[in-house]
Amino acid sequence: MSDVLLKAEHLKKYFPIKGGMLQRTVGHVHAVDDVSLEIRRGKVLGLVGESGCGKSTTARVMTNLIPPTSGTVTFDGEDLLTKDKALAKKLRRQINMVFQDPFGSLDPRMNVAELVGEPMVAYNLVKNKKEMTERAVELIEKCGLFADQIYRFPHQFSGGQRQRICIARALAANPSFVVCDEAVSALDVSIQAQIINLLCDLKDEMGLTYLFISHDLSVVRFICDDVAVMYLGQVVEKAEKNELFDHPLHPYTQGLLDAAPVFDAEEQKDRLLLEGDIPSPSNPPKGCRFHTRCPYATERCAMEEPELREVLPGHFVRCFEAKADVPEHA
Amino acid sequence: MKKDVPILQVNNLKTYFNTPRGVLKAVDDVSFYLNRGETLGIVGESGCGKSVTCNSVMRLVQTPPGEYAGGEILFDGQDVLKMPKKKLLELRGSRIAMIFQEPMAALNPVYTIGDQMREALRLHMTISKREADERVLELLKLVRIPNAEKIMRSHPFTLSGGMRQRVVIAMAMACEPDILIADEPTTALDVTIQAQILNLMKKLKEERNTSILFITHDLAVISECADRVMVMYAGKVCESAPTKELIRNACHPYTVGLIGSKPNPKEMGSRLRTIPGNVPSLLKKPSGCPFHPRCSECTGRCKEEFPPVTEIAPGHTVACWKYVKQEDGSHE
Repeated sequence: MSDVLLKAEHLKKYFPIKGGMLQRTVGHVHAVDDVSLEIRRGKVLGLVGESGCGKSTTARVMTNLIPPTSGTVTFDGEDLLTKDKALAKKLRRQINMVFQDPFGSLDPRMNVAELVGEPMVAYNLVKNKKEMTERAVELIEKCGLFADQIYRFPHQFSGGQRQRICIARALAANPSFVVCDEAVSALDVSIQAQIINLLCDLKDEMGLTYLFISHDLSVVRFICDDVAVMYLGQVVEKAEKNELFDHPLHPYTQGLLDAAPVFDAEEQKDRLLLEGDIPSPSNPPKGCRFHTRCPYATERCAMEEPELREVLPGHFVRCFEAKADVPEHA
Repeated sequence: MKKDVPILQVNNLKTYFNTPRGVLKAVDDVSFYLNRGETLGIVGESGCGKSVTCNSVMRLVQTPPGEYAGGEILFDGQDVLKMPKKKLLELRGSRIAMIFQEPMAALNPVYTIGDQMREALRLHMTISKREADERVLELLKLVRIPNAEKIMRSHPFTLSGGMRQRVVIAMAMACEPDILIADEPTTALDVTIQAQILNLMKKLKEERNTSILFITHDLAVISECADRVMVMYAGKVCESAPTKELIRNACHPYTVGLIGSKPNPKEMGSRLRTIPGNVPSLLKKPSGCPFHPRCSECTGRCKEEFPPVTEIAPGHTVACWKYVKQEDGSHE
């Protein structure tokens, strides 16, 4: 078995913009533009960035929930975007998702047993209802709920408990890869910590691999092994967690890290405060996409688009100026 | 104490809601004060009564089902709860202003930014349209909005989230209020935009000497912008202290738990410290100290009586039996 579980290469996803009387395509939203990512087996890849930068679309394309415009995804050595339906189903069982909103992602008319049991039925993993319920009980207990709650409905649970149900459901078909799309963002701090601990425990216990999407940098730093930073549909920097947080090379990463409020105010240093807003992905700036907000932008940045290049072993940056020997910009 | 009279003094405020399932004590015996030019942060998880406390200060809680069951809110020496309607209307928006979490919901989608801001100005000041226009421009520049003339003529939907929040702040600052109540003003924004807005609020406070009541669930945000912090849990204040003191020397088990729940880059262990259990429903509030079912240091007394507020350091008060010196010397 290779070390890499999921590998996406040059993924692109453009959404058409329809306009005019005849609803012709008048433009494209460049939601994901040339993203290449690798997720190592048993590790957690964090995907960070501001809203609208294409984090969720990347995750959806990578798991074949929406077809990409171009690019390839291999999962465990096999082509995930295959046309072979049997293979696609086999691969899809391996992949599951936990979403942000635990209120919107559970059917209010189904009880916990049905919610958690549905994937088992869909993939013919259980023979009858009794077996399904037994497995569901096992799963929800693993996720910190109690067996007597199995016939309750979603509205009888709090947000944190619902997220536990969502996690139990995601694990129902024995996946090896789970996408957590802002899975802890909607929860209160004390509940958030419980869910993060649960995700960490499950990972160790079941040998899971996560793609963890979040805008909360402190959570990403805690849970992830590798981190990729996205800006306007592109990965601008990716590296091992500590390398990225301690020596961010891309000015956007630096700005993002500096923008996060620090709990202990005495550690305040000179901050790089980014000006302006994120440009529209339907009309991304020419050249480097970040040059409109970058404090170090040169003429070259406005003309040419930088490539994602490896400046240090395992540390990729999409910036002309970033140098390995100068960890901070002068 | 005469020389430093707080601009806002809330004493034993009780805001209850009468629901078909019983009385919901959203704010239960809450006292605090806000000095001139000071930022007071209110932190707590969802449903702990932060927003209701602030809405009560402006008397915005709908009655019924809401009810001000007791206490007083002294704004500049006058009790807001006993004020006649007309006087209250003069107060709202001009001397106490509010910023809400969702800037789109706070702006009228069918009017331009200029129209809405002019309306706010002309409601409280007798000025001509032209004077109002000038003032609007001035305000938009105050909140660092680029090409303000153009923004003035645009509708809210054409602006980004950060810009909308700037407009809302500009509107709140229109009449130079004494108190600005900010109810989760940055929660809906991205981190880089959040940093911009927090920076702006800090600068406005320094320039105008406005007092700010800042509500958030994010301890990190609070530690950056507040002078003092008040921690709420289930409608009660459990701890109140100057920000630095609270960070270094948190006393209430809930505050300690809240701080521990946040991943800290310095200690990257394998697990986060958590507070077990869930936030209780306010309808079924536990007896005594509401935090006792989740507290690791709970004693028999915690289940029966709410602890008195004890001052353990200058300006640092905590409501926990752990810090109450027993008169008979015993410690349960």
